[in-house]
Amino acid sequence: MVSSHLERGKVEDPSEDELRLSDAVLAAFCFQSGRGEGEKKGRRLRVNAVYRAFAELRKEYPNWLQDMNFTYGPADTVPVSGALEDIFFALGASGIMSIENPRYAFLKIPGFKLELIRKAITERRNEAEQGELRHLADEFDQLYSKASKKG
Amino acid sequence: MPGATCDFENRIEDFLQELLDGYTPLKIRGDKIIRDAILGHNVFYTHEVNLIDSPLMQRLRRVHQTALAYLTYPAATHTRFEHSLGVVIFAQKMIEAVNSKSRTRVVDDVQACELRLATLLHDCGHGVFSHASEIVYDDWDPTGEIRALRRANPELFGEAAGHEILSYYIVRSKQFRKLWEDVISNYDMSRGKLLCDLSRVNLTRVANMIIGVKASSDYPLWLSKIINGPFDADKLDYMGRDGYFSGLVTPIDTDRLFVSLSIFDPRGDEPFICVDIGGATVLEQILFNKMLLFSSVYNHHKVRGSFRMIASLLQEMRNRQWTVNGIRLKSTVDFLRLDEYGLLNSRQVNKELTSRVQKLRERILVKRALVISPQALKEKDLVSQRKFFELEQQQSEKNAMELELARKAGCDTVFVDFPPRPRVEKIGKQSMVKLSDDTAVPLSKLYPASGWIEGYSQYRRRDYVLAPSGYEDTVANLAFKLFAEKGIKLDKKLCLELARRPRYPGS
Repeated sequence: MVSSHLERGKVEDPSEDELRLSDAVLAAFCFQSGRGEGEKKGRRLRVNAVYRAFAELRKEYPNWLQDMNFTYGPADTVPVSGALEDIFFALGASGIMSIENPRYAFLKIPGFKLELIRKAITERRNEAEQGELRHLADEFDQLYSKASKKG
Repeated sequence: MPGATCDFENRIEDFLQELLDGYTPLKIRGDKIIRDAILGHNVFYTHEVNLIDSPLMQRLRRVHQTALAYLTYPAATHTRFEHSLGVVIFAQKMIEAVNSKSRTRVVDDVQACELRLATLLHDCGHGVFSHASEIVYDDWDPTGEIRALRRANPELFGEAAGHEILSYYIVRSKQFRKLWEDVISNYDMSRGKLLCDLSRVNLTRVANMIIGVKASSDYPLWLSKIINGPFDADKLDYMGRDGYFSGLVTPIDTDRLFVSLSIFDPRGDEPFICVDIGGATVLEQILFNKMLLFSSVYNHHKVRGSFRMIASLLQEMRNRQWTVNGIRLKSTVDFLRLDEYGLLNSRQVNKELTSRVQKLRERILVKRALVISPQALKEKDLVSQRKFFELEQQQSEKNAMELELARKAGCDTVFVDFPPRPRVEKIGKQSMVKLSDDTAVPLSKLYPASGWIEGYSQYRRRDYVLAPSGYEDTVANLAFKLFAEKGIKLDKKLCLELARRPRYPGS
C-alpha cells in the first residue's frame, strides 16, 4: 500500500528567497571581500570568538539570523546558541569542518573546502544576494577580530 | 504580532477552561509526603498538593517522559508527572544548599515558594508524547505559532523550547490565576506548614522562572537558573530518571554538587550560582551522562523509529484534520488536549489512522535499512560532504526523499532520520566554577569537556534510513541510488554493517 500521507504531511522549509541559517554561517566563514577565489589558505577560528561574533552579528541582521538566538551566561561568559551549535555539529560530522584537538578551542576549515562552499553558495544566489553575503561576511570578520581579543 | 499573541493567549484560556471545568480544590488535611522511586520520601505543601491534584498536573500522568521509548526499554514508562515532582525536590535541595552557604538566607520564603511552583509547573505545557508533538508544532513548522512567538519576543523566548513557552502562557493565564486564588482561599492555616504568605506569590515571576529569565527586576537571575540554566534541577532529575527507567547507569553525585554550590557575587555585576572546584567533577558527569543518554536511549534506532512514527502520525492528523476523540489539531494548544491513551486506543476514525495506531500499539516498528555514520563519507570526497550537510539542513528535501523511497519501494512509510544531538555548549561555557583565589571561571576553561563530547558525538553520530519490516533491502538499495543521484556517495559496506545487515542485496 502506497500512502499519500507523506505528500500531505510535507514539512516546510523557509522559501528559497530566504537565507538559510547554515548559508549565513558558511558565508560568514568564506565570503569576505578580501578572500578571492583561488585562495588556498583555510580558516582557523577561535570557537569562543566565533560565538561572540555571531551574537553581535545577530543584532545587525535580525531578519536573516532571526532563528539564531543566544543565551547569555554570567560574568561575560561566551553567549551560546543551540541553532549555531547544531550547525557546527553538522559541519563537523559531515567532515567539512574540524575542531582542533586537544583543547577544542579552534574550528578549522581547509582552503579547498572553503572554495567549494563559496562556489556552491554563489551558484544558488544572485549578484545582489552575493553582495549582501559579502557585507555580512565583512561584518563578521570585524566582529570576530574584536571578539578574539577577549579569548 | 500582538494580535497573534492575543489569539494564542485566548486559545490557552479556552483549553484551561475546558480542562479545569468543574474542578474545585479539595480541603486537604495538611502537607503530604510523596515517595518517589528514585528520590525517596519528600514533603509537598498543602497548596502544592492542591495543584498536583488538579487536572492540569494530573494530565501529565498521561504524557510519557520519553514518548514511546518504553517500546524499546520496557521500564521507561515514567511520565512528566513524576519528573515534575522530582524537579521540585532537586530545586528545594539547591535552595537549601545556597542558603546554608550564606550568613543570611539568600532565598527568602516567597522566592522559595515561587521557585517550587515554577519547577512543579515547568512541564505543564508538554503535549501528547512530549517532544514528539513539540517537533511537529515547532521544528517542522517554521511559520507556526511557536516560531512566531519566538521571533516576536526573542529576549523572552529566544532559546526557550516550545513546551516551555506553552507552560509560560498557562501560568500567566486568567484561568490559572483563578485556580491559584481558589487554592489560596482553600488554604487551612491551622493545618499544614505555611511556607509563606501565599498572597505574595506572583505568577508572572513564576512564569518567567520557567523560561529561565529574570523573574523580576528585584530578583536575582540565578534563581531562575535553578530551574532553567546550565546545570539545573530539571537536568538533575531527568538524567537520573531517564537513565534509571531505561536501565542505563547515569550516576550524578548530586550530594557532592549540593555541598559545592554557592552564590558568587562579582562586585558591581549580576551574582551567579557556581560550584567549587570539587563540584566541577559533577558538572562533567552531567555532560557525559547527557551524551550517554543521547547515544544509548534517545537516539537508539528503535526509539527513533517509534518517535518518527508517532510524530508523522501527529503531523498527518494535523494536516488532514482528522478528528480523534473529538479533538482536531488545529492549533498548537490542541496538542495539549490530545491524550496518549485516547490516541493509542482510537479505533474508528479511519482505516489509515487505525492501521498506524495499531502498529504502535502492537509494536510493529520500522527497521534499519541503512545506518549512516560520518565514516561512511570518504574523507576526501568534498562534494558528498557538502551535499550531506545541505541535506541535513533541509527538512523538505529529507521529506521528499522519504516520499520517493516509499513510493518506489511500494511501502507506506520510510524515514530519513537525522536524530538531534546533545547540546552541551551551555553547560561547558556557562557553568561557573569558583577557584580558591575567589575568582570564578567557566568549566570549559578548566576542562574542555564539552569540546570532547562535541568531538566524540560527531564521531559517534548515526543517521538512519528506516523502513517497514520486509522492505529494508529494497529501501536500502533505492536509498543508495537516491543518495548517489544527489551527489552523496556512501560506503555501502559500512552502512549495511552498521544496520546489522551485512549482505547487500545487489552485491
